[in-house]
Amino acid sequence: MAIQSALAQVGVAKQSAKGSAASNPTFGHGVTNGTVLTVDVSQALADQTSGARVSPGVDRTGVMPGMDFSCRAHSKTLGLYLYGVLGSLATTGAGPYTHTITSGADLPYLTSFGKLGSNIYAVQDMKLDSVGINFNGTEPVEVAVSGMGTVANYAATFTAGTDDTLASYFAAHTGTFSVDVDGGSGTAATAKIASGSITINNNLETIMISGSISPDDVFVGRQEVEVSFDIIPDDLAMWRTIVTGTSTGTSAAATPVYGSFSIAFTNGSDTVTLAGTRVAFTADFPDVDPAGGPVTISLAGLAVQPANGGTPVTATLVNSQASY
Amino acid sequence: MSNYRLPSDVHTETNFAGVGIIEHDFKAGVVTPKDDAEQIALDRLVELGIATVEDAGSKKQSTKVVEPSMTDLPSEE
Repeated sequence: MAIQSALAQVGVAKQSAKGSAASNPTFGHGVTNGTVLTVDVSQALADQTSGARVSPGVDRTGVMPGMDFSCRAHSKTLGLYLYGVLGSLATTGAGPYTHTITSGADLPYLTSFGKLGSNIYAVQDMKLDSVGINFNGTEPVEVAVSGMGTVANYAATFTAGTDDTLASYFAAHTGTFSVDVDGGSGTAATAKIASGSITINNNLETIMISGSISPDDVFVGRQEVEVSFDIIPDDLAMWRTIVTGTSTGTSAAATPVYGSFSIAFTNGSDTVTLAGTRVAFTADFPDVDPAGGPVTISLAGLAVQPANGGTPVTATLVNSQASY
Repeated sequence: MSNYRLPSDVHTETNFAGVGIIEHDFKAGVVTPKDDAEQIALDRLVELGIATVEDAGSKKQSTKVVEPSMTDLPSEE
């Protein structure tokens, strides 16, 4: 009998330290796209002569497990994914709790769990390579998660402490959006946004050492925060400001201007806000269309460290989850 | 070393390469950091707008705890 592809769940738990795999997920949920487990088996034809015009075999040089999927933005689970990709967390309150999540020097180790039918696998010492928060129109917010780990457990268990599979999630129609391309007002101005994404990349690389076919560790690289927003503008001041430095500029600016953004979604009493205070935007001049329709400007921004230090992006999550 | 004021209890976690997760639990009120790690965590809370600096630490240059001077600590208030 074939395997039913809809019987799939993902789980995740924070480890106390490297090598201390969790036995069950803290959070579990369904997926909308991708796969519940990745195993990158690195092997290629052996570069060796033989008695025929073919290679005599294949060399295997690595077995690297990970995770790569998209899911809904469930409030509780989202907190661990944001902490996992950013690296620093401060929790206040006594219910509801406010989790302020910012860029840290390193990332927490996670154990990921993948369940497909009756097959359950886990990957320990996982770090999140990237998390993207994507929204389009009024649709549910999508979270794209990608991670890399060290050792896979092919006989894991899956009993989620919190099962978010049937829980509600953030949707774009609840959003409030503000974007400012030059920071001139000091506060991001409300924007008509049709779609957008905020992606945090950690540029992970595995550390392979002699003596093991699996990675010894996963190491973080530079953290890069990219944002994109499709805006329906009332005028072209935004584009002109990006190119010339001011909304009335008449020549190209030699240096970038920095702006800001703030994106917030609500789900009942839960909220999540993602904000950056030093973002360098670019934008192509908008396309035209013989069929007509409103002009859209597609902003692409790089969020960097603010001038006074700190974090390129701050995620503020308010929910009923006491801790991560 | 400055004192910090926290309006509510705060739990912090920050990850460092080769060290792992460093966790702190601070109670609401005025907090004096016990070590550099706590001060870094509290400075971060100031950056985030969660904590405020209570004083500039100008009354006493150091609150470093050294065993023979423990009896002096109450006068630091």
